[in-house]
Amino acid sequence: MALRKIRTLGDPILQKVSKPITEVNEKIKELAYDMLDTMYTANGVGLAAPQIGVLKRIVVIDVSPEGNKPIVLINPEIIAMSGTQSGEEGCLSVPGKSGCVTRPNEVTVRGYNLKMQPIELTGNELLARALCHEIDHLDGVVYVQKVEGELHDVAVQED
Amino acid sequence: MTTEEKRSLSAREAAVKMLLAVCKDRQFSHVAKGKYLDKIEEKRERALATRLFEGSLERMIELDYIIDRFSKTPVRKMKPAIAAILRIAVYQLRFMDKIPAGAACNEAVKLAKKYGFTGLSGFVNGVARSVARAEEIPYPDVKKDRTSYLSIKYSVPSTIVEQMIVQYGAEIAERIFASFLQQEESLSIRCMTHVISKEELKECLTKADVTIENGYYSEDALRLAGIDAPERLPGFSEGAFYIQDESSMQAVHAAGLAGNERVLDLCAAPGGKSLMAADILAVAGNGTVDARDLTEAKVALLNENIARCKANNVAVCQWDATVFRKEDEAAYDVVLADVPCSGLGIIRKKPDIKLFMTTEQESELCTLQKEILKNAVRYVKPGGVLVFSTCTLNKDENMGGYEFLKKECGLVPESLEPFLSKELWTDSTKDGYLQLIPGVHKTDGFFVARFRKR
Repeated sequence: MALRKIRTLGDPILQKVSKPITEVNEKIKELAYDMLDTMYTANGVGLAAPQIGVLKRIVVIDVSPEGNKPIVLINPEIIAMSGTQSGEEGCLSVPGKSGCVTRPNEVTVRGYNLKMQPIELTGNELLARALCHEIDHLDGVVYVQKVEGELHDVAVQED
Repeated sequence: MTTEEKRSLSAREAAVKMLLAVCKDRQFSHVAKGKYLDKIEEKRERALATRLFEGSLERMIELDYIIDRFSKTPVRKMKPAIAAILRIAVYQLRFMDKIPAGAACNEAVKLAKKYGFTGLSGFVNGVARSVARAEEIPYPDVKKDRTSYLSIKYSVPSTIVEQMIVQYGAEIAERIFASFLQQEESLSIRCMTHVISKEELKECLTKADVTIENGYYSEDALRLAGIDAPERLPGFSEGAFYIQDESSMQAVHAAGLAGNERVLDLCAAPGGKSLMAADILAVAGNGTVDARDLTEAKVALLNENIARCKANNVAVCQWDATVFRKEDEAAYDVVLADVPCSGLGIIRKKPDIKLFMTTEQESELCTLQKEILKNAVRYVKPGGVLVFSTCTLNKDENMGGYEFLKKECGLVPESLEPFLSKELWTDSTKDGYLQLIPGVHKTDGFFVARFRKR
């Protein structure tokens, strides 16, 4: 298990567009496992490769309360969305903060798994939110650009 | 992405949040618990969070003393979140045998990072690991500085240490401080005898595998062992019993109710004394209770408890006890005045009390108490009884109120001995008052005095 360093807001890499993955080799697999470890250790529910400084189109997500249902998506694309939800969202690249973002309530995503087999996945509520949030990262978009109102401190105020 | 919503809180994170709510936002500990505990999914984690939170509150002065020995920045100058993370970590290191030192330190570092203090995670790591490595951490020398020694050993602020030594002497004071840190052996409840007989209640609790003992000082009291969720016990929602310390029961015993009295409980919430009086009156006669308290929330709590215990001889009304109510003048046979106080007697149950009580607040409370007592006296019928009680150990408040009622209001103290169990008789009970002391009596700290109006 290797933990990668999470890049935080202000790092220019977070604004870059990531490149599609053409084949799943050992390096990509290792990247995926490191991303999962990094996400779980940081108590996140999702992580995109650019957040650890790798400009490749791969995201990991786990929204289960137990943290035992990992999802790895390569070259994900949103192919359908419906409804809306507004709620609090945070990001491992913006530690200690959260803000209200409106997202579709249900999205369907097409992509590839770690065997490079095509998969399709439909998620609603928290999973839909996580899918949108992580796929945004692949296009250089951080949720703070979409926050309605103020970004606020999650747990503590600096004073 | 991160979310607060579905991801449940870890025990340590919840403990830090609760500690911050109390130390930084000055919320009550039970409010903080209500806010964060049920965000923890697993029962074992919930128990750990509770232990970490309550333990760190209870031992905060000692924890800060330890941290200050290893940190260049003293706790009082730290960012509140860093202080909370370190307190929780050091509590695990010094007071919990089963948690490996490495885990306590690592979790603290993770939390510091998670809260956005990446730059301070090394500091947290350094302090936590130095504490973990340290063998023994000596207290200040008792011979040179007894106050600091007692203050740190028992985590009681030095102002309270000095006050208790002056008022009770060093030996009793130390027993009081030790009792603050002891786990309560049992939960004290009172059987609602108009709902169920004590024997039936015992039978029903025994069936649910509860270990029961009779109360020590009250006929209708029971002591239950090893209970963590009393509201889940059989009979609770049916109003078969009310959770009440035996100390507060003595205030109602002191009223010496016969059955047909009209009783006023001035500061009634959450309702233990009102309900006990109502229960006695319902069984022995046709008496009634008027229960008052200051805020809407307290009145709601009163109503809830009254409904649960099926007491239909209690009337509730929201009223500020410092404001005189003309229509109640000389209208009551018995007035119960359980006035707001510094609460030093219930520190074992609410450790946050000791951290925030100041001598200024205590003297403000003395003034408030007299204002309430002045009104209370006027509500008593000539020949009626007034019971004055507090849940504090501070003699300025307790004897201050006693002397005030006797000298300035012209009430006559009456012996408590006819109403109390013999084990509670002391030098003072003949003179009409009783100070219960935790560590001496098997109760919380409590004061009760009985007077008759001429």
